[in-house]
Amino acid sequence: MPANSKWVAEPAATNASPSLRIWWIGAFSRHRLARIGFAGLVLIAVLSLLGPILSDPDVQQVNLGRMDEAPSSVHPLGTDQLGRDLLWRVMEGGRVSLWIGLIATILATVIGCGYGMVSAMSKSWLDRIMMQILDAALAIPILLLVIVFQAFGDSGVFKLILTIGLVSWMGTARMMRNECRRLLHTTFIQSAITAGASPSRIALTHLLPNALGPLMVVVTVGIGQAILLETTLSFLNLGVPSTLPSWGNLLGNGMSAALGGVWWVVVFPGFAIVATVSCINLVGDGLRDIVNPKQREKD
Amino acid sequence: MWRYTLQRIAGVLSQLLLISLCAFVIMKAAPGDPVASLVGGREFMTEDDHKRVSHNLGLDQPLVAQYGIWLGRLLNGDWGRSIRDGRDVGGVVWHGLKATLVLTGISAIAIAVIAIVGGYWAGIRAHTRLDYAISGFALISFATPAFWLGLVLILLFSVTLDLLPSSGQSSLGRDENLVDYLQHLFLPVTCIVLTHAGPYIRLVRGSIRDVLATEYYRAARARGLPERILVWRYLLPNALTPFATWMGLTLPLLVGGTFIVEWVFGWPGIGRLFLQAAIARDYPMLMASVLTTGVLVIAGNLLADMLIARLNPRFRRTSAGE
Repeated sequence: MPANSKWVAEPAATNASPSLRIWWIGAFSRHRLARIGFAGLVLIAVLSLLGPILSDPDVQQVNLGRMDEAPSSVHPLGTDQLGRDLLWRVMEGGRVSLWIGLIATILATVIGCGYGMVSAMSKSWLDRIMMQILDAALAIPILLLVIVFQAFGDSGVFKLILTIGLVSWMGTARMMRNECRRLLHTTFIQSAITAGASPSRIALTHLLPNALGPLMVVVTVGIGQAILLETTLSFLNLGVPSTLPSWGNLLGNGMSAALGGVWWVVVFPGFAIVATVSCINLVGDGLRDIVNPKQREKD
Repeated sequence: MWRYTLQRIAGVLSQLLLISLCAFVIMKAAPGDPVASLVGGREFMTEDDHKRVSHNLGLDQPLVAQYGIWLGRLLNGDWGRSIRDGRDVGGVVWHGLKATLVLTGISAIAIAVIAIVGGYWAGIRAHTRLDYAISGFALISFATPAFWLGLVLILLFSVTLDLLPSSGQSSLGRDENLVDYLQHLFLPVTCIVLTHAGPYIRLVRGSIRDVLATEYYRAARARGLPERILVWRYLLPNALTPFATWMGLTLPLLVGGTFIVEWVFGWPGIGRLFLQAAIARDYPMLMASVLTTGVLVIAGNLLADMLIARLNPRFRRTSAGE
């Protein structure tokens, strides 16, 4: 049992009272690791969004007079192969990587929620078939699917987001289906069905809001995984076009230089990825402790 | 038991079918006209020639029939030739499969050992410094991209310290020997293990904590059973069943991670073949490596299921009773 399981025992955790939202924020802010993760994430997001605007335009220029300079007080993370300031490049890359991770996850969440809810509300034979398809899809390595998708046609940011979204919805669908199946047995939804509420009304006003807790956990962790997927693809030159800086592109472009001794162009963007995804996962852990899906899986 | 076995077989067959369909769709969706490419372009053929060649190659038949013919050829061992270098795809893939099996197998065993030992101690000593160290490692491990750690390991151990080889399976110009092979294996395995062990450690830690809180474990402890029996008969068997299940379910993730590591370290496995084929748009090779990977994952899942059945007597009894 996690140390904070005592919160779950509080009645507020299961009652959908108006104070639920306030309780959520309170519980989240009391979770120390989640607080650290959230603070780190805010810092990274602010740096990525504001950093490129605030930094000196001169360091953004290609300048062959200062190629591959080691970290110094002028360039805290050094400069890259074309003499651009690496700190600025990492912040720019963060903006691209964070946006792609976020939008791709939203797409995956919409698909996964739809699939999971339809499956849960369908007749049992259809539900079983849909889950069988999901099982088969989960047996294929995601990375394989993504690379195959990306190998067709040109690469572009829009297509990359679409690809990541299209392969990352399966976990959400599984979670959503199980959660909705559980909720469909509860008295308040049964009475709504008896009162004649339409399936879409049941789905949108009863199922979705009540499944929001576990959904948020899956979505949070999903953003981190989407970022990792994006960096991996971009590193392989199958992701973000190389004209845009993303963390994966910085690593892919810096690889050969790094093997020649310019270690900073590879080490620092990597640290940025590890820090970001760690923070996201800390927030996800905090949410999980609050929602405690373990309690629910027993149903 | 029979019912379970039949269900399992049906599941495996439907998965195989889906994967072969995926591979077929890849091949068909590939841009370009295969008939025209035989003579170097559409402008070198008349309309009649094009029809005749299409007919001879069976390309004018309905897609379902083409799929059937293609599947039949696959089962007969005819996997086609690589577009890029004309090598026999079946032979190349078979060669790569062996290298991948070694890398994935050793990594999986190492991950299992680290997850069980780490998770056990983190669970037993929860909320101590040891637990924080192990859990912290797990958190960072889950957030580290395998390709990046691979680069860092190469930078550190091959470029800076010059201790270990950075790529390939054996050194050039030297006879194949075990020490050389293990030296080449060390960095890729380390990279896979460090970037994939995290979630498993956390899972084992959680299960250990769950079992510690159960009444049967507390009762056994209260009866004064020796530590050895408590750990080996009560704690570990109960805590490791979810681990084995999870290991089987997440095998696709491990295989995907192995592919990237093969790429970074130049390990001549399926993953490298697959990525080379994807980048060079070599469709027969791409299709073959997707298919082989799918079969590899399904086989791994079956293996995990058999392991779970062995670990969990409850499973044996209920399934036998059916």
